[in-house]
Amino acid sequence: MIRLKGGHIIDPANGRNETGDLFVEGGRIVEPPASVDDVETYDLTGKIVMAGAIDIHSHIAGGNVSLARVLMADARKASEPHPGHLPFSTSPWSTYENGRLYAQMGFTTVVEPALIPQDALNAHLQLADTPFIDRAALAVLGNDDLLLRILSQEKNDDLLDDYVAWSVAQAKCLGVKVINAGGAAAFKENVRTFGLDDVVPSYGLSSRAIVQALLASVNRLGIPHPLHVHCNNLGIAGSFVTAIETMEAASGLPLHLAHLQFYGYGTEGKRKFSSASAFLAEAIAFHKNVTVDVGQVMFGQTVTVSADVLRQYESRASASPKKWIIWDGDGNGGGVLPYNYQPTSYYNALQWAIGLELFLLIDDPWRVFFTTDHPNGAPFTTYPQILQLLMDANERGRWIERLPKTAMQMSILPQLKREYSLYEVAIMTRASPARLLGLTDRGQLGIGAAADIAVYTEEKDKAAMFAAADYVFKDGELIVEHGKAKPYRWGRTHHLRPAHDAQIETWLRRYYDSEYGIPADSFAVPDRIGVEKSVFQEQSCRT
Amino acid sequence: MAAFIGKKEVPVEAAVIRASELLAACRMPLLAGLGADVDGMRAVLRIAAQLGANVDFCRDSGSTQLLRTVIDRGLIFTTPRETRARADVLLMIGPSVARSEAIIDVLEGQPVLSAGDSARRDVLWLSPAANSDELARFDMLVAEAELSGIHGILAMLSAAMRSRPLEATGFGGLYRQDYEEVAGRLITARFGVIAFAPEDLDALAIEALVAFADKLGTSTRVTLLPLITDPGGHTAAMVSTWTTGFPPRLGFGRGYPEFDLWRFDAERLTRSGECDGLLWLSPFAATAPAFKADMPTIALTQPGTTFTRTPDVLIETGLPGADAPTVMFSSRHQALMSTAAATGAPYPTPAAILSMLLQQTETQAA
Repeated sequence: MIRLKGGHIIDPANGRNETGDLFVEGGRIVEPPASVDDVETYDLTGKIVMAGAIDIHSHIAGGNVSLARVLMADARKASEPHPGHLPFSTSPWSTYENGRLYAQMGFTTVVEPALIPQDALNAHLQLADTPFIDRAALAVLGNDDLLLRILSQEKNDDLLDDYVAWSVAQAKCLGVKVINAGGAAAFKENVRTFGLDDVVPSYGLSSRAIVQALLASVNRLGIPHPLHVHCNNLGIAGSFVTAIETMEAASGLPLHLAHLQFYGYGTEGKRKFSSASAFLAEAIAFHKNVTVDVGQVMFGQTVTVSADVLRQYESRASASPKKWIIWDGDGNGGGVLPYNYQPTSYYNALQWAIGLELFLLIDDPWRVFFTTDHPNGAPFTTYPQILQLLMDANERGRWIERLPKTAMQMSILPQLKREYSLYEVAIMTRASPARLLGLTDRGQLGIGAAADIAVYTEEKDKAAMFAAADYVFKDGELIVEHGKAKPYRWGRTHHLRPAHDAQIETWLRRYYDSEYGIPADSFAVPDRIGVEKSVFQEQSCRT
Repeated sequence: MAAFIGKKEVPVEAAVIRASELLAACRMPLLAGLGADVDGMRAVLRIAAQLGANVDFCRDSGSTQLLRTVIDRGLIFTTPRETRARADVLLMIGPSVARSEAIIDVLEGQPVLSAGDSARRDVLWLSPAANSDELARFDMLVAEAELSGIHGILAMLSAAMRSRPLEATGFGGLYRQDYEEVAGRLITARFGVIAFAPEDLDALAIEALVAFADKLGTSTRVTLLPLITDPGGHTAAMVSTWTTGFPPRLGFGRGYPEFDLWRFDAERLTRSGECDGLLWLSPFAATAPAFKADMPTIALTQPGTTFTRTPDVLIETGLPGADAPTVMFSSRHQALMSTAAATGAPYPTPAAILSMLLQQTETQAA
């Protein structure tokens, strides 16, 4: 047993914000023992104690991520040798570095939000080789021929639900994501712009119809995480309208909108590119069924990795350096474009401001999630800086002074004085993500919860505070001490196995055989994918 | 299956111990080979990190040509399944496409998606000696092209696409009308696909194909289908990419992996004398290194491999996917696949031997 003594425990899931002790045994938080005499004790007096943080949207695994690794192989270098006990852990963008850096910041669970079912084994092997943290993935549906065929020809909800359930189970995912619904399918038919009411030519189906069908199906199946939607028109001036129309299209069903910042653009001003964050915040306040993550932009070189192949293709002229990968894959495919967000650019500075505006204008920290859409807005390693910007209005002021005045005049950010409290940060990065994903024993420190715990020293400089946790425990084991990772230990990949009628397997066999000439279960992920470690942990659907 | 120190047969454990001693005595070992499965490559990389070794694991592979193109220029590509179900024009370039299991699946299907009422496909094949037993049963237009002049052929094709005047006698075995025919079909394709095996082309030629697709993409949809016919090499590249952040070729000499196709080329490293010991892995065929390695050598290969110089340690290994379960890239599906063992033969897999070697190396280091 371990005793974490005298820390300031911030545990919004249990309404706790007080100095106290935690006891850990068998990987779980447990009741205090009768005697604490022989208990290994960490004196955390003056420290902040939270559950391990959860990132609901970070591209850390899969074919598209590896394509980005290859595309930029000549542009990156490790900064230092890896410690002997942590091979590969300083190799940029490796699964090993990802795991180490997340853990050192106090993150213990990360979700890869765009697993292409035909690439599931590749993605899961990469997740399994990501040390320290627990992982999960969302299965991408909504551009695949089979789904579009079910919606346009069969028009049967049971068949749709069986197909969605089968897809999630085969790909060992924790939820479903739709990315520019119908847009990738339409792009294969040479369509170049695709909005919510545009129609995929061969199927006669609108994007709206696809989103609504998947929303309803995910809800009927009892998948805890609401449908995770990447809207149409990403990155286009005026796309806030698309985001709001998508919220309305949900008709009250639970809906998660991903990286909302990329839809926070109006068409005002000389450059016809303005902030629409206030409209979005108002719409979110009204639509209580909607949650969002931000996709904050930070300045510097990155690579955008997205299964929105249509939007990536249309943006390829902005690639910097000038090279790109476009993949017309099964269903969505994807695109990889290097991009450099520059603090001297009107557009990039305004994108930065719009993300922060969304964080600060959306009042309810239970419904706004902390992401950069890694690596699309910025690498996840910028999280500590972003937390500082949210918690310190003076720091925001210092950044604003250095950015183009033309952009800051178009932003309400200079007028926003709100500062996030530690309690709100704990809601946004711990309690709420666990609730959203259905991981009921994570993101909280109640009795029986998994002992995923992050301990920080409170500092005025919040970037320094969150960059390196004093201690991180994963399932009760110490994995980080004084900001440095201990030897590798392996987390698990959480997934669902929603039930489906076995009859659909016959139907699928016939389809795969005739259309693709291969067995239907060709891309199923087996229960064991590593020789060394047990990887998967099944979670339950709502009943 | 057997293990040898020199010419003397020994237990596998003894061979592994000797191998780890030889590697430990090297200043700069080289781990080279003809690919691996996922678990095998995981172990190779762990050993390389432990020893500070150089790694070149896709010898003679088209994957390296493709890699050069992706890094320099990027790529536009699709899958065999999308090609089968959607491509109304399929241009195949080079003889090796006939070796691809994936192309058979493609040719056996009909482009039922987005083809409207007429689900038919035009297939064109530009290749020297363009006749193959595998492809003979499919209806296609074949043109004998000389691949030694591939850059000229692609330049002519590019000119034809831009409606530039061409000499009637053409180039590279193809006449003007051949070029105009191919260009015309691609320009009017709904979803055109250009299939090739990277080993038939070089990086510059692949780059030219990317440029075609880009140019045609302003008005229609054209994409590429690179057919990987070297699954072990491609698996090694995939595992290396997620494990280290980089594809092979790699050096671990500075205590972290560095990527450099020239510096860490196994042939160059052995010729220059920069490396002083070799671990050679050929898990899928009885193949010795094509380069001369006059240095202590440990070989993990299929039984029956003929070496010009007897390896200091030789361990014969089972075939991943046949003798033992494996996860590796499938040429047919062009994706990672899990395969159950067909025989369940009690032979040690390369991954099992490498894991023993890793354990021994780590024990020695400690």
